[in-house]
Amino acid sequence: METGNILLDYIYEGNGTITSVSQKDNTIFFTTGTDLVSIDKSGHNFTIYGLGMPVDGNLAVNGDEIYLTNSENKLFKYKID
Amino acid sequence: MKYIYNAINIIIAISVIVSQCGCKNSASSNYTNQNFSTPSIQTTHNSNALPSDLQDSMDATPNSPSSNDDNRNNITLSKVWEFEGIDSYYKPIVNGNNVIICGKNVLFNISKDTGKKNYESFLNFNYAVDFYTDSNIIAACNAKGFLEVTDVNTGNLLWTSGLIWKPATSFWITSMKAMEL
Repeated sequence: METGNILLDYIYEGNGTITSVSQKDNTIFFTTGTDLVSIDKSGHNFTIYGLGMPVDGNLAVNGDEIYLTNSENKLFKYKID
Repeated sequence: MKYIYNAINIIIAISVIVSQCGCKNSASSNYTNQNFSTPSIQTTHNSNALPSDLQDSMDATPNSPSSNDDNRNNITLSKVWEFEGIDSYYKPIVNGNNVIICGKNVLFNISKDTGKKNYESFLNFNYAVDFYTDSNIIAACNAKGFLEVTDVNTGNLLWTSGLIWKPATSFWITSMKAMEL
């Protein structure tokens, strides 16, 4: 952030494309249109969270809570186990 | 004696040449030892590097869905709200105990624990390009340079500005907030 240097360049090769990104502590969350995914800041510990719905909206992370919007006028609040 | 002296010089010269070749080889070896088939996760400190430059040299992704170290965890659905007019283009905004969701011309402030709606506030323009918020205000701007600032706790309009010499952006809103402070 201070220098503008690229510290992490990550390519997601799953279905869909990255549509929204949020971060909490050492974890980066992103949505792909079909899934919610997290990686750590070094790009490891790839994790898919099965939500059972299209994840085509935007994302905010607050503590162990995740807020997601979708294109059907809905806001979902999830708790990470 | 002269022959011995020349012979020593020749030996020294050969030694120097051999040692220099050795240095070049070792330096070259350092560079060629880089693993260019590394995964898509790379760190770099090259400020001149563009993302596309980096991507060109990456061909494997150990942390992609097809890799072996994938995990699939469950998370628990806690609440679902449905509000006519919200737009998934905008990020939900968590503000203290409330969460704010936005539409092109509307804001909803709801308690994130109880789900109770605290207020809905309509903007005076039809298409916000971005929202900025802190613990006191929500600012919204449109593409025509109109800025509207709302009290985050009540949803009441605080002030507006419409004389901006170029289309408003989130950067502009941040700048305005900084000027206000």
